[in-house]
Amino acid sequence: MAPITGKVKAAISSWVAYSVGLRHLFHKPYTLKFPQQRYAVEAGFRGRHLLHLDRCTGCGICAWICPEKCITIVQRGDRWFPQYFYGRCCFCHFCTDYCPEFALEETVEYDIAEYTRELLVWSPERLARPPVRKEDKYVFSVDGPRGASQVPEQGH
Amino acid sequence: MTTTDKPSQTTELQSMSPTEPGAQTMTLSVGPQHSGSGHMRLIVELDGDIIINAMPDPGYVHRGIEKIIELRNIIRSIPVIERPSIIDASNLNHAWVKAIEELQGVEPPARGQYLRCLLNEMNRIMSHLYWLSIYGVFLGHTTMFMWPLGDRELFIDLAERLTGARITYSYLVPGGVRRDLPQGFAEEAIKRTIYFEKRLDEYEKIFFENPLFTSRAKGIGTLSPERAIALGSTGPTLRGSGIDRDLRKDEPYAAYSELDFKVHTRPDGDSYSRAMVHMDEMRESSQLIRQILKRLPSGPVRRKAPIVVPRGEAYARVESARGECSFYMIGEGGDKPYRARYITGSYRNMAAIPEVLKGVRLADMPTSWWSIDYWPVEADR
Repeated sequence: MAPITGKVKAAISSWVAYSVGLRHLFHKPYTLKFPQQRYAVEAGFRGRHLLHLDRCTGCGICAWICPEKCITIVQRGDRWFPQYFYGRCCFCHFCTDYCPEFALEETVEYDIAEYTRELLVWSPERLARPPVRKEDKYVFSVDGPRGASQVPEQGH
Repeated sequence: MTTTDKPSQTTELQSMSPTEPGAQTMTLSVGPQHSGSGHMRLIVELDGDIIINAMPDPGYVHRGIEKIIELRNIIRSIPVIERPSIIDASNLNHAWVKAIEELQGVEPPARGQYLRCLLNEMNRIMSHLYWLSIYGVFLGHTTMFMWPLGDRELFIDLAERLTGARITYSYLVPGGVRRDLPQGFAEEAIKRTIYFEKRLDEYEKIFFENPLFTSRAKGIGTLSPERAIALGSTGPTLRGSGIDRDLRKDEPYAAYSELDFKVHTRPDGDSYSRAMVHMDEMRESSQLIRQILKRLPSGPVRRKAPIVVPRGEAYARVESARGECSFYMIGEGGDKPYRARYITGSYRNMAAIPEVLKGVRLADMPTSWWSIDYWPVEADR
């Protein structure tokens, strides 16, 4: 009798597993069709750096603390500024933390991929440009009736 | 692939062959392709399809991290410390800052300690979910591959709000943590942990109670409690053999002494037990997150700590997702350690792999081996 009970139990467990899977057939996907659908990160995200040229004194603490040595201090007239090579940057933002003049800031701009290595070098002038938020509007939410999914941000 | 009657080209494989002439065993090299967790190789000796001997062959992803951290100051080392296991970055980072703080004599503020525990527990869940998804794909259960990776987003998204980064946070620094809790974080985190626990019930129904899994995991790849202790196993592998050992409970660090939680063990020591310990720990960590957020004290999150490793020696260990992670550090008063020995949970559990695989069918090898949660990158460092 025992093997039959075991088989019945196995059959029931299999059907329970199938039913759980079927219930999720119409669940909204977790994924986004990037770059058409773009994920919106919150303020405080450690994206690319924003350099305030007026505050920077060119002291070079950012270059000293950088774990990846991706910062070079370059001259502009009689002043010095950091230049970033994003091919090496690990976005730890210790440079931002250790800047004594608060000249560096983290931004929500994360899509900074380029086709060539040269374009990954960000000059002080390019770092000083305000961050671009291209149509980033999807956020992850668990409030939906069918569970967690990416939904357009409210008020967008 | 070689047989004993046909001499092998590689001396390494020959050394695995049995000595008696005419023996019909075969030595098979599994890997070192990326098997879902990093590059590693298992050399298994088969009699028919029964594994009679297995030998892990690590070192394909060795980075020399112990040497690298001798050359960098303690802050610059933090992103490197996290790299061996980016899915469990916070726990590894915790061992590092704990060793430094021990030498410096700096005690982080209470809120900082709680926030460290918060990220540690989120990381434990994320790491276990990653493990579960690879377990699913090893067994050909594609749904179990998709679901945990999808649900990992619940916590990755939370960690992103807390730290600003999705995976490698560099959040723990000597003296505390880098940021305070953002607005609305606690409510969102509580909502998500409740949702996550409902999802865990579904995982049990679709995978852990599924005969597809139980028939391949129950009673297979057994590790007895005595052998688990003798081989120096740690983490879920040790607890899966019924040994109640968890550093969060046995040597409480950060805020763990003030938190209520259970250490989950399973007595059988087979693949199923080890898998279920991971499952139980995810539930426990989920309730621990809610508890931390409810009991979170007010105050500062960070205390001033110099970028100096004072002269002396320190040993710090924490319970990471895969077991005990420790740092032995020697300082000589500079901004970098003279020497830092770095041992992770996967490295300790490597010794259990031959024991677990002995007597198992080749088809059951992924189930047994992966139930140890061996992360090659973490073991090679």
